[in-house]
Amino acid sequence: MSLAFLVPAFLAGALAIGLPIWVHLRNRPKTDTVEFPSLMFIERIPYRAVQRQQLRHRLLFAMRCLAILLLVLAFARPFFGDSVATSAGRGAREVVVLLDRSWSMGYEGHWDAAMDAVRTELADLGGGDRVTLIAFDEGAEVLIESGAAAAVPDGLLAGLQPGHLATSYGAAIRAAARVLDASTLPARELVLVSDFQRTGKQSELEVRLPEGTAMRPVNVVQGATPNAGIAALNLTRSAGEAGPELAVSARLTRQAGTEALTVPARLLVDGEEVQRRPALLPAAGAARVDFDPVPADVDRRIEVQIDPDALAGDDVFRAVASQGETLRVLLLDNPTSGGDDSLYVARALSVGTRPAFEVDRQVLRDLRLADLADTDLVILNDAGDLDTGTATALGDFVESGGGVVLGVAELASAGAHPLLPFEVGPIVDRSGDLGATLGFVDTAHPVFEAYRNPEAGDLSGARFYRYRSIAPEPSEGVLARFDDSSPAVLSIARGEGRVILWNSSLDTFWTDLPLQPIFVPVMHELVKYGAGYREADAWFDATASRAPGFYREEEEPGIVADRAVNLARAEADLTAMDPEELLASVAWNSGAAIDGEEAATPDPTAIEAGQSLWWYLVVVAMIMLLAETALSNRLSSRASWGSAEPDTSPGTER
Amino acid sequence: MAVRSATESRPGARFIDPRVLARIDRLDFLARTVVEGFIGGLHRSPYRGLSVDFAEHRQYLPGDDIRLIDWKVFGRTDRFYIKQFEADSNSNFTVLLDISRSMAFGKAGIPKIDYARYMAACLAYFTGKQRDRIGLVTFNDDVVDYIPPSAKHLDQVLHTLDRVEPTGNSALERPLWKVTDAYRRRGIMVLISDLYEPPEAVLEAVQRLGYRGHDLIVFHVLDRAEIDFDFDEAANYVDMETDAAVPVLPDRLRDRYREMVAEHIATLRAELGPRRIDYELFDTSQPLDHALFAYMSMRHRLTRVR
Repeated sequence: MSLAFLVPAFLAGALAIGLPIWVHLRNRPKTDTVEFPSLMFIERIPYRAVQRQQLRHRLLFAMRCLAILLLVLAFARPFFGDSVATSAGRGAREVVVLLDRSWSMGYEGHWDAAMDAVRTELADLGGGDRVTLIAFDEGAEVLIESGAAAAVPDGLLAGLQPGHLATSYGAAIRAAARVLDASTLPARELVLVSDFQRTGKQSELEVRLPEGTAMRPVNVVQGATPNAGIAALNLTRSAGEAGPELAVSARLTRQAGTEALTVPARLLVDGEEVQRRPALLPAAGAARVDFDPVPADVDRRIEVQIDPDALAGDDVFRAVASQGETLRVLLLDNPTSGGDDSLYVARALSVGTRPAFEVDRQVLRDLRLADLADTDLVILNDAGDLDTGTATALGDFVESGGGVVLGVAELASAGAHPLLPFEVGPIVDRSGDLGATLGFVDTAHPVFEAYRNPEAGDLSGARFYRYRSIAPEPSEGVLARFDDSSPAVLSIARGEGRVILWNSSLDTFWTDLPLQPIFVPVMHELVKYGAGYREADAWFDATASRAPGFYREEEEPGIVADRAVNLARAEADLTAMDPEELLASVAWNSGAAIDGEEAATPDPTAIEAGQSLWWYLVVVAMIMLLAETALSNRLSSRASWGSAEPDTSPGTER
Repeated sequence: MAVRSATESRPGARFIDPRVLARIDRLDFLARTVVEGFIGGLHRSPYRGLSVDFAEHRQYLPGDDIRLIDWKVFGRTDRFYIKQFEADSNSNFTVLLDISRSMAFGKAGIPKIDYARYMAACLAYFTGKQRDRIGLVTFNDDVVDYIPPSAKHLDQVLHTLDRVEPTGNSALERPLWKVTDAYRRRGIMVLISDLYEPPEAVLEAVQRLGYRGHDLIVFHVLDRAEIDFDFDEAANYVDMETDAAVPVLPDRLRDRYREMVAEHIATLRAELGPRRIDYELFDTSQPLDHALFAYMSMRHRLTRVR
């Protein structure tokens, strides 16, 4: 084990040891000075010479010298050299090669460069070295684990191709860390072959590499990487003269170009090109291409393409324009209503297309359990008190994920309600002051989200002449309140479903809301929210088990739908990061990363930082100085010039 | 070596105590005070009858300079007599004053440089009254001020003495060599110094003056503390000339120091006498007329010898 120094120039500070010697010999305790005409006689007396040359308080002197020596050594930053050999990669190495096979590596020339880099690493392996080859994208696949270079099959690399997933450095480095941790070889190296996309490092890498691991990035990107691609599609349904229509627009992006470029964008519907539009792309930026509406009376497979460029993966974008779901709504009327009370609700739901509402009207007392089986939502518009069986059935319906819109008005008895966690109070009559209005609406809630913009509709125009006095728990979600702060609309979660309480009638008996323009959209949103409806995605990102393309899948038993799968668009962002940034992130977590470019010549700074011997030296020096202070104070208080005894021992005379 | 202070033995001597005289600003007035007091007290002095102005007649002998024949005596007696003056009458009198920085020391009394200054002024004034030619040389390791001997230079000498400041290191050889070379005419020279040099070096420097026929008097001026080393505090002792510092415990080297100083003085006294060089030790607490007595005693010896 040899001792080396990071800053050996500081060793020159050891000359400062002469300082305590000088202090001991020359700097006596302060005394008065007497001017004397001549020291001719005094200097001839041996006694004085003895006093001057004698080293006094040898322990104090030794402590001072040692403290200075320790400080000098600390500043020279010592470290033991054997660590160098350990971390320098001398001897057998455990080499882990991480090969980026995300779909961005399909950029023209990148994959070939990556293959060349891997082959070079394999060729550089020594006889005692072991290699692990890991291909990674979002996940990591260990192709060869800790084997000799000869163990890598010839056709292994030839069979590798860029995948269809995005990059995740964290997964790859974690897999490498596992292999390196298990290695018993004296040197460890991590070679990362990648295009170093910034999107691949979503956050800090929580990776801890073994101490002394040399990490070496191999960047396959040479120069700029211009790329044009389709970032997203926007599908807008509309009602055309000949039936439903679908308007398609595409958002095209371009990076690292040198000048504006016009590319033809093609729209394919169910695999056939139906339109072609030129798109003017700036050197770096985005452009939008609008296609003419196409018939959408059935589900359509939409595909927009541009001419392939260096990165072909993002030159096509797929989507499925589906007809959407149909929500089945069961509208329960009061037996005495005569069928007119729910007219407004039924009419409002009849105009829905996305989703469509299939309304089944029924009298409450005729409700059977089987009627709820295929129902998404039940609307009770002042249907009166529920008998036990009906209440139980509806309660179970909600618990299992169904939705109930409950309008409480004239016929609801005051007191406990089987579907509500609180009691229904007496009627509040506001007809005397022209009715109440909605004083508060939670526009952050999906039901009223559309009214965040004042131009979307005026909810305050509706009048509510009567409503019930209710006092829900503060935890119940109040979506709207009347102008006297009484709850108007509540969302009450129950089991997997929910109950929407409408504190008035859903007809014109207690309110004129059904006469307002906003009634239809409010009802639509109320039903969609109550039924837990969520519009189907037009496309999905590719996963490990599903490559880009169109699929026909059975969503539910008997229901088959098309699915469009695209490459994750974040991967199309080829913005590169400095490999050093990635190294620094790993080093921060492992505390032991070494830049691979310096692995051949070990970095003494990293080794010294790992040992931190200087810190211990400084601590010992401080302790020594404290002890020296205590000792010198003690000696100073005890000794004085007048009591000092001359040392007249032989051999001390000058 | 302890030197007995004259002020302790002579009544009225406090009027010529150097510490009292130091209050007199004007050096000429100080010198006159000392010298007039000294002359006024001569009738009580054991040196009464000694006068530097005394002249004698002797019979003319063939070969004598006929210009020296006293014609008035020849007119009264019809015999030739030669008028013979005192040997040092109208002779050159030069004070060689050491003004090195060590002369600034003064612990027991006034600084040595002041004592030496007063001493030189008194001697100059005293000899001036006898119409001798007065000169002055101040030196440290080289000649600093040089006033050639002249009967008219008393004021200049006193003025120079009044403004001398201790400076430089002391070394006798070079300045005395220059004096030897410059003074072709024989004369009386008074060397006032603390003589912080090995006796051999002092002898080497001063005996050249004797070789030239000069009558040399050495006044060795020391402070009482330099002789007794009566310091009692441990301190760093700094050489006033070289600035060298030495930590000293006085109690532990006092005896040895005294021995060395006494040996130094004894050596000088013993070595200078045979070379016809008068030596007198002064400590700065002695009255200044002590120097005049010493000087008169030396002149008396010279007269008798002649």
